Amino acid sequence: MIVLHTNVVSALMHRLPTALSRLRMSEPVDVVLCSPVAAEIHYGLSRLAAGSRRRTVLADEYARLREAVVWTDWTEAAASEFGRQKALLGARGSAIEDMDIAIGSVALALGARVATYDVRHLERLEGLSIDDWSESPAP
Amino acid sequence: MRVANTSVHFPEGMLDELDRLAEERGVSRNRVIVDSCRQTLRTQRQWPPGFFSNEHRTAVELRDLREGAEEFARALTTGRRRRAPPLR
Repeated sequence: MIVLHTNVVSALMHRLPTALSRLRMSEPVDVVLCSPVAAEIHYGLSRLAAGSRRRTVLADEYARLREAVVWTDWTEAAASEFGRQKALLGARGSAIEDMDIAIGSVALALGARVATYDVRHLERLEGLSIDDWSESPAP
Repeated sequence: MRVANTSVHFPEGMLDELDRLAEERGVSRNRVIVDSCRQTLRTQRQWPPGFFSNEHRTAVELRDLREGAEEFARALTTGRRRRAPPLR
């Protein structure tokens, strides 16, 4: 099971061929969209001009993806994991964005991996498995 | 065939609707529910038809999408960097 990071959802919404190829390697039942990622995507959409073609098309692409994959809300288990991970990072003096901790915590709570284009920060989370989508998809 | 039992909570009225459907089809309520579950599981293992095709987009829309990808990603990153002022 994989949890899509915001940068991966953005790439899929923009119909980037490498992202679509990579997604196709999983079954929709194994692909998770979580509420922290949705929050960031809605923020990005809200910054675009209301009624613009771009916003309409991107919102439509987001809706298509949302409809096809599994949804998970921010759960109590994820909240607990978030607190643990943030404290660990703080103790190591290695802070990362709260949203990255939140996304990683959802994945850890589900026993899933995170699919991302940017492993630099997420790899600091203890025990998190990462799918690096910046690498070429397997044939 | 071995079977397992579980308890499911339905929204008010849905069970009556299921019973009506079962009666129309001449099958049991259990059969209607199991068939629905089977269909859901089958659907969730396949991407919707045309999901990976770009036929639902015009060439102009696709060009706009791909050209705007970096800008959108940058906007998300900018949002992350903005922090509320420290509480005093």
